[in-house]
Amino acid sequence: MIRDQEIVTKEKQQVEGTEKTRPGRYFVPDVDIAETDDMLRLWADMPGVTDKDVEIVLKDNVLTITGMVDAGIYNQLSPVYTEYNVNYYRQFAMHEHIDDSRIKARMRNGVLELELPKREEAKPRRIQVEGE
Amino acid sequence: MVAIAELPGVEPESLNISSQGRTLTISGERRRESLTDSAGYHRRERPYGEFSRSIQLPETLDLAKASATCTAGVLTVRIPKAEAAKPRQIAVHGQ
Repeated sequence: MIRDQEIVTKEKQQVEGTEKTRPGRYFVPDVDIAETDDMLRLWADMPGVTDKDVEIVLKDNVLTITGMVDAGIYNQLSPVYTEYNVNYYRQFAMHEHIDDSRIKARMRNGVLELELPKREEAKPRRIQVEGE
Repeated sequence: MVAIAELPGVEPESLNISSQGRTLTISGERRRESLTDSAGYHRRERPYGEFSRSIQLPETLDLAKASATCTAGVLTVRIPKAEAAKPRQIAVHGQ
């Protein structure tokens, strides 16, 4: 069996700059972004965030992802050792023309999966060359 | 004792939780989503592959009664305290 690379725990990066209306610590989720001819696909690691606690806004070509973690599991616990339990926030400037009416999003195992379809006019087009 | 671990994108079936002596080990594998189209990546920040992490437990836990759940990419392992370790009231008898 081929052994993949080993995952090591890493420090989370705190969001700097903009201040949020809701208090709490916000961290930058790790993302993968892939582009196909038809759409952009985005995955964001947001463990602890359920489909009800995630907010996705596309406005003026800026995509904003916010995920709130329910800290309820920590109720009645006295932490011996903690690394994190935080909310997530990240913004992307979108260069492609995204058809915001067809954006699809779902949460699966703490990963946000986004499908951002391109507008028809933004898709690559092959131009037929006519012979004589 | 409750141990909470963030494991986004890890299928609960691929998780392996074991204990030996006082060491609790959580291991598993995270696979990258497969793209069917010939897609190009703009960003690849999310780690993938195998992982393993061990934590030392206090002696006073009853590992035989441990239970674990995994929701929204967060694993919660609960291990009750051993009966012998629970605080006990000792009655004082008069003469």
